Amino acid sequence: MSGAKKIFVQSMMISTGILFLNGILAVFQHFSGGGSDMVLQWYHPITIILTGVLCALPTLLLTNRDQWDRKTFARRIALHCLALYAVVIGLGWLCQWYTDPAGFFGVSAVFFLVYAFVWLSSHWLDKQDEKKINQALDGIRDPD
Amino acid sequence: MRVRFEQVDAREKEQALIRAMEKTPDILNAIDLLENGAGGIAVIRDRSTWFCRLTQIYYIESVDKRTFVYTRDDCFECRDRLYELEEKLGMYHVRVSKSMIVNLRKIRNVSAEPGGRMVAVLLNGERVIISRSYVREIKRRLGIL
Repeated sequence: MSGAKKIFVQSMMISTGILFLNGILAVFQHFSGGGSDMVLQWYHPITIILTGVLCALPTLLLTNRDQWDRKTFARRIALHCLALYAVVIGLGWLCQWYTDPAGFFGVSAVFFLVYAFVWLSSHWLDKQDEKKINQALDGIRDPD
Repeated sequence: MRVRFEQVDAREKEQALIRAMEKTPDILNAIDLLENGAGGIAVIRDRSTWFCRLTQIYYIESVDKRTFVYTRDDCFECRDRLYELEEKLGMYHVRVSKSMIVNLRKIRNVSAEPGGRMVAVLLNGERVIISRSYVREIKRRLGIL
């Protein structure tokens, strides 16, 4: 897959994750917030997409490696998580996704939920591939 | 046996279907020939040149611009580069990383690791890394894409 395509796919996954969780939060807020609904400004959707693109760049730089040991992998993932968190919090501050400490903690919580969602969904897809490949290998394997 | 040939316009569409009562040695040879090509590659060990059948190859690795061919218990050197070998090898010899080609028929199983890469355990117990970007091609070769 080309670099541009990888950035596009990653951007779509991250943006979809953010919109998905925001949708769930809006539903919770509507039914539990005593009538105070989440308000979406005109620039919020485009900033969510921009966040997706900016988050895709460190993803390619830090996690797109052929060879790595477990220690390097853990270090890169921690660095990756922090880089993405900085992007989200920075854009959140610029675009006023949060205006008080409660909002800051809310955005932080959404970020870590999205981060976990993307990793878990990617790993689930990889496991599906693993299952399909192993089944196909069973049919062509040479005798041991 | 009656043989029918149909021309297709793309390599991806090529396939052979054999309808037979049983897998006789002749049919097994035909399957081997269609899947792995006619022969093998020239390899070197102890300054002697040997002929290595494609079906014997477990994996081929490039290290410091030198190419090494691994069979179950042996290792040989090959003058060809990986990209040159890719054209000579059979459909089940597939690139799994920038520096390695693996014979899919010698893989016992694969397991997905965090980060999108996979680890393949070969029939001789060796483990090789499959990079994320090559998984799609492996699935295509296995007919599951």
